[in-house]
Amino acid sequence: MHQDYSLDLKLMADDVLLAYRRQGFKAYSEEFRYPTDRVVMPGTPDARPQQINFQPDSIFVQLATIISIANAAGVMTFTSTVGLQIRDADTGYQFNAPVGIEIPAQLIAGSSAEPFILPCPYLWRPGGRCQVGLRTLNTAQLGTVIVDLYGFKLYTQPFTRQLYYPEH
Amino acid sequence: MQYVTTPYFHLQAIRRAYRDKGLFTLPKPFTYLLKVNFPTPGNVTPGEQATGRLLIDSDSDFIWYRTSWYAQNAPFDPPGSIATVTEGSSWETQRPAAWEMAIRDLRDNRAWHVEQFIEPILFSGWLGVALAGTPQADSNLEDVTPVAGSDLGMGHFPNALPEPIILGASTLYEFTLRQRATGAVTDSTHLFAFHGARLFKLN
Repeated sequence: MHQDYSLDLKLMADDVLLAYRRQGFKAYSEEFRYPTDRVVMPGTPDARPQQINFQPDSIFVQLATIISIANAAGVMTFTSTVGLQIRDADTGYQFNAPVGIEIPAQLIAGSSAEPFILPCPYLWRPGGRCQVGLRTLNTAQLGTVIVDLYGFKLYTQPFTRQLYYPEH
Repeated sequence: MQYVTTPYFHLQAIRRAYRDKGLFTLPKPFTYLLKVNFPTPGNVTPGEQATGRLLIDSDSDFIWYRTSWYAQNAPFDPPGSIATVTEGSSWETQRPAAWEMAIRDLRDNRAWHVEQFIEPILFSGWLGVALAGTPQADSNLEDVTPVAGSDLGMGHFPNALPEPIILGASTLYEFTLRQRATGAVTDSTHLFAFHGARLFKLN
């Protein structure tokens, strides 16, 4: 979340593209973000699970996670009214422990101005699915929530579903 | 002082070190959560201490590069009963003077410091600089001010570690918090998020 981390966005993007080019693919990138629906959190501590479906034409390289929380008056807030967990529905990989628990959102997601930049890129397969767990953690402060996976679409020629992570 | 630190650079350097030992790795982003719960919600008395344990998964080493510290005055126990967090906690005034901390590696029962406890300000290498407030209130974390009416105490440690710390697979760490203010404080549940990457060994 430190602003200097923005350097990592460039480094990670370049390394992923290079990994594909080294495998003999032509690789092109296009900045992109996959949001959840706009979710109105309930006044009870119930979950509101969401699913993000990635488009089948490209690999999505996630570089950061963003959450937007607006209160009833539409004012952007960032208090921990919301618990969050992110899980790859195809591989079962969850981005945080303990498994199955939504944790205060600002611990694992940032704002648009200060996104939570990942320490390494995460690659989502074409047509893959991301499960986003949302839960009300504080019934005193409810909000409307959107979670954004920020990164870029990676188009390859020829098309591949294979995931190549950056080398060392 | 302005300095540039990039977790990704460090991570790649660590991966190269693994590779040089013949170990090829697959990195995946991850956050471990450590909970330290004081027994009485909203009331932690001077000298009271509580402990939480962090167990690293057995299938991967964890490269720890940043920590977030979050506190509130009600238990954190999802997905079960979640009480409405009551007003009254103020992370701004309760940190970091109200707390001191100890870290111990339970593999060999070795503390990470000479003193029994150290103050959070000394964690600047591990936790970064403590800041109160909410990041979305201001794009510059170093200038943030708490949101009025926010009923959750919270702290941000936006700086990365000068060097990431490798927490090996299956290792167990114990974190103890001790209240050292002169009066009771309300932040009775503390969540430490350890941000980093899991390194899965491919061979």
